[in-house]
Amino acid sequence: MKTVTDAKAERTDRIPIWGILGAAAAFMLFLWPLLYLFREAFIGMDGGFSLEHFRELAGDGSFGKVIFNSLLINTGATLLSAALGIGFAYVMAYTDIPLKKMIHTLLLLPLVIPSYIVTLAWMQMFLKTSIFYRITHFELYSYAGIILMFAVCQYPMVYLLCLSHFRKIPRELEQAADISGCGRWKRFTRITMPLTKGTLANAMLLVFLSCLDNFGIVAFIGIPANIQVLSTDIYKTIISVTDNSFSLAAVKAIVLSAVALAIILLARKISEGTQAGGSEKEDLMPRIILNKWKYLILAAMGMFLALVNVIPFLTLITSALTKAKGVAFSLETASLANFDKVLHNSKCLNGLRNSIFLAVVAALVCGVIGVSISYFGERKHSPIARQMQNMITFPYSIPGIILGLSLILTYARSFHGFTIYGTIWILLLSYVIRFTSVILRSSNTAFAQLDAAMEEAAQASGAGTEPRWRRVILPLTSGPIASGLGLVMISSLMELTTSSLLWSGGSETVGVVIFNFTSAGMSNLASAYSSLILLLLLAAAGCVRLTGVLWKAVRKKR
Amino acid sequence: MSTIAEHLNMEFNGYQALKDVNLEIQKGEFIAILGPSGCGKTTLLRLLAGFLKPTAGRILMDGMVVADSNCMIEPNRRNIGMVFQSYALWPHMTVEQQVRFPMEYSRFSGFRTDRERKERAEELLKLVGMDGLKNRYPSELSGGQKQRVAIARALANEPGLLLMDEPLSNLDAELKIEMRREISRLHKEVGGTILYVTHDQSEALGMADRIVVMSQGRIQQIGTPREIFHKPANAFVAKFVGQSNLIRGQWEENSFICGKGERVDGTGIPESFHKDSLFPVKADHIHLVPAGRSRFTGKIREMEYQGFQMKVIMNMDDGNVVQVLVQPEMDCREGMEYGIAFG
Repeated sequence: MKTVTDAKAERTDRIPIWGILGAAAAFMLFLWPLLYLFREAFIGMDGGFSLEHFRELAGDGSFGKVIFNSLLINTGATLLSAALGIGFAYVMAYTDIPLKKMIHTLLLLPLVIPSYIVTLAWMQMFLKTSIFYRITHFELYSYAGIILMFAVCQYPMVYLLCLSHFRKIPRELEQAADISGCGRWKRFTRITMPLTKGTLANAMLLVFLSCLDNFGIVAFIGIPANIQVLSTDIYKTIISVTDNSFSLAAVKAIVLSAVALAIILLARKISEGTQAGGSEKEDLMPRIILNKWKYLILAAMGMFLALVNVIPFLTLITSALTKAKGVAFSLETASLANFDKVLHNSKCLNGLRNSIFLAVVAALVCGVIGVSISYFGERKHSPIARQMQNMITFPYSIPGIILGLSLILTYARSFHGFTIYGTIWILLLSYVIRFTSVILRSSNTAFAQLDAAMEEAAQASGAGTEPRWRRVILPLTSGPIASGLGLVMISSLMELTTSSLLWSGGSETVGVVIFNFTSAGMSNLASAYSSLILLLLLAAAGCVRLTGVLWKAVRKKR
Repeated sequence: MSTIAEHLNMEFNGYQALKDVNLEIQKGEFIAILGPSGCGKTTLLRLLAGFLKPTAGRILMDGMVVADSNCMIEPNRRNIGMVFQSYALWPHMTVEQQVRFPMEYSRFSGFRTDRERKERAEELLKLVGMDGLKNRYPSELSGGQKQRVAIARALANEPGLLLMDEPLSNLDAELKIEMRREISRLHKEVGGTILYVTHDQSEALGMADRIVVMSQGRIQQIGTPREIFHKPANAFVAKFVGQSNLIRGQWEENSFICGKGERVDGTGIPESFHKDSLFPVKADHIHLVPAGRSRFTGKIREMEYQGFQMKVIMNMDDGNVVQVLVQPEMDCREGMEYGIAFG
């Protein structure tokens, strides 16, 4: 009788070994730098354990002000984003407002435009010489300015989450309230809002964390206005390069993480006990017929969108076409000189090349790691893979400036004369650490939606691993995974927080180049470069759209 | 292909789903695994398919060990076909692509060229009555049509063992009967060995050559449909498959005594009933007689009119509850006293 070994059987006991190796690698990659940073905070000047950095920080009154600034600005920004987001979501989900598709796209614009470009555009819009400044006298370089910029960049997050939530509220729940005698406002406050509390708390948490993480806006507006927040303060501490700058920054990073953690716990407390109770499917039919109000509301939304998502970018382009800073734009003064300079600037070209390279490679690496760990966790129910999922998700909630610092501390020393610090690879590493969880989440969704029998049917049909993935698993999960890859690419292109710490000559990214131009006061060049980036993003979005349309047409034909 | 399961045990996190299962499936047989949900029948099927590895025991296919507690051969290296409860048709492939898939990837496929595969796919789709719909996607098919495609796909390579996991449970009643006939016809026409998992006893009785009755992870009885129905090995089989009354009383050798000394001949009733002090009898094998003519008496609790006959539920004086089938014109009212006669 033949035995199993003759038949080249799968030895199932070898999997844990790979699992343990993978878990160890994930730990070293994703968690070790953060632990290293933690250790750094407790090492004194003499190299032993010490709390001296904490004492030094406690005696530094300005740091209290920094924490206060962060909390004030982020709270304001979170509330403003929530108000904007929930308002738009309500109108879009409930009413029969016309042009929904176009409004939706315009509302989401800030999600795909880097916040530093948005900020740069608004800086051009509110130049002292601009017509907007002369009418409103709004000082962008202020607390209010920073809060406004945060809200402009972050409201789409609240909008998206609430939109989907509103559409999932069964309309019978509200009709029951109508029958019980509730008016429209009562119905909103007594039924809709309580049902939305959990989603809203979650959305606000995300906004708060991403404000805490943001570097572009606070660096562009806050530093000139001398308003320091945690991320800019840590950045300044690190680049000051004094004896203990890293240790001090590490201590500050711990404070920042503590703030982030406290906010997460607070949000969890709030959303605790809220009932989900929504339906699975989104209901796209309007529930409120606007009649005569329709066009008034449409006009108001149009104004907002023009002011927030169109005019700033037009100003950016006119500023790019203006030769010198502060000169008013007119057809006579228009010139392509800035574009010419940018296109002949090696740093600009290099930045673009690096950013594209990083976006593509980061998406691929994150994709492979994220999809495979998701697969083993969700499909094979491997406990090791579940642990790895936790490790990978953790750095995502850590502000980027902390990750950047911990990577410097961990990788700055050379290892047998070899170091990735000062090269583009450390940027790649930081993007992989930050964004793998994005793909992990989208592939978890994909696998949750994919019936396990789909894969088993292929296996029972005799298909081995490779054809199973190529013919069945990947085609059926491609939607969520592709959108996850897209998100990673966009996030990498938009990244400035860790990049600002980790870049070096030759490895600058688009964000870093714009940051450097702006810090050096060359806002016209920054505008020209940003305009080019926007055009490229637009072209890329167009290509994606076109491919989608073509693909559909081809499929229909087949 | 013959398949043998030897002392199979399967444990999930301390829960024993299969306990010492032994089964031999001969080439060409149609075997039904019958049991209530949670009895381990799907676990057994998944072990045979290779989606699970047994915690003890082994599985042999054509004399070769394909799984034991250390090693196992993956499903794609076993000569099997499978029909899933949810059909598991791939939403992105047409009917023809689904059927061709196993021919393209299975190492047991005898269809090497594109032409052979095309012909085989056409032949199969004709066999299941789907030849006009080969370019449809699953979303464009009805439940019964999906079922037919799933069966065609599973049959594509003429598998040594065809596993069917409750394939009719998602169909409505009428379609169920139709597909049941269809599967029986396919088995006759195509031959091949089938292992069919179901919780529906009429499916098992109507289609299978042999039935394996399972409960709580153990095989309760293996036999032909007639044996299972008429000679249940124990109380569980009598109740689940035979829908028998289980009357509580005393055994004296081969006689069973119930009520106030009613004595019934119990020759041939298996020992396990003696042990449980139970006597299995079907509702149409007993009748109601005037109270004086039997020592096993009780009162009518309720009646259920069923057209050709009437089901009467009796509360017996000794605490037994017994169902009897009687002529619909019989004079029955709640609370009336009757005796029960056997045979």
